Amino acid sequence: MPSPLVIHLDTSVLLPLVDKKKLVSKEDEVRSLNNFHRSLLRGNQKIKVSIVVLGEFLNKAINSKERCEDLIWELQVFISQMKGRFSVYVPKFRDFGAHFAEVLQGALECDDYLRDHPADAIILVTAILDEEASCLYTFDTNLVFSTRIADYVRNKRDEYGFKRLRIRPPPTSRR
Amino acid sequence: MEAIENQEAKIIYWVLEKCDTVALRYFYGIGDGEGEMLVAIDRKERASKLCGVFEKLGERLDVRSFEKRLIVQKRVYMLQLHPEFHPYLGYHYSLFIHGPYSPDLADIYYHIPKDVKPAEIDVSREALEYGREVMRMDRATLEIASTIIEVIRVNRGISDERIVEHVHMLKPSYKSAEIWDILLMVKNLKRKYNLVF
Repeated sequence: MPSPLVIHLDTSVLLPLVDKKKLVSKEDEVRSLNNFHRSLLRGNQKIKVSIVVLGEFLNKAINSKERCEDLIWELQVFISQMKGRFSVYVPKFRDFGAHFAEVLQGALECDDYLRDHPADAIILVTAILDEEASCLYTFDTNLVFSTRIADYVRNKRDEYGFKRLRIRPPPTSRR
Repeated sequence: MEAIENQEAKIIYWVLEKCDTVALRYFYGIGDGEGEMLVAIDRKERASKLCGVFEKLGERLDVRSFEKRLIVQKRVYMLQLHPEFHPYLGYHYSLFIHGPYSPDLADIYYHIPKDVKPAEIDVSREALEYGREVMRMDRATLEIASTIIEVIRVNRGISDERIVEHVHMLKPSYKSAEIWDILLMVKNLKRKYNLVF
């Protein structure tokens, strides 16, 4: 049996993915992700989110005031629907994790955008250092469109002998 | 009296738009209630301009289905690259599943007041020609063209080969040859109409 596809989610994807009641997301954002949401529940992909993503999610929930509990509840529902295929990932500072600072430094040097967006930088490096990861799904324009970041990620993954990590928005079945 | 207040609010809004909004709001002590009124006026004006642009190009602003909203999103993205259409549109775009997406624009077309009248749009014949070219593009062309432009924006000086490679990686369901064709079209449009990106 093939090993499950491991995907990392950025906060920009996690929020509209679980926000079925559109508490903080727009209708089209939630609707665009319906197919992806269904494929996650049906398939055997494993989702990992970095602790920073969880922090950003909670921050959004806290700032949404009266909707705070609803949003957290939506996340809990999604996690239970994933039946053990959702985890919060923190690289250990052993083995490849020992390179965290070096990989982070390299990422900051390859694109200035990351210097001003430390949370994005940490989310990116967390995914780079996860040997199992195949994709980092995000709606962050700079992460997705930057060829400098794409090259950096490819080189680092090659250096560690990891499989390719794609950084892109979630797939759509529609063309 | 109401008309005068409305006019006054419009002037204040115009000043706020032109200057540092946060600082001026603080300076004038504009509170939440007044802020909401200004936002409502702004929304109505933006909706009027949006409807006006579509009317000028002989199209109806149709946002009744997801598919139609997707096309509106991409058409506005392409239209506002033209310096003459930009002042009437000027939406901030981020990224979503089908490429560039503007939550601000969505906010406007979801809340178009029933009494909105399309604004007068004063653009040259050449701008109209560009607008009509955009209106003729199908969804796939709009999606790929807007993605290509974002790749160019984020990576200044990038080679054509690298653009096609990156867009193909992001949109694997499109063949490289299709992306090449659309890249050439985008470059032609930029040259012909002095598009800004």
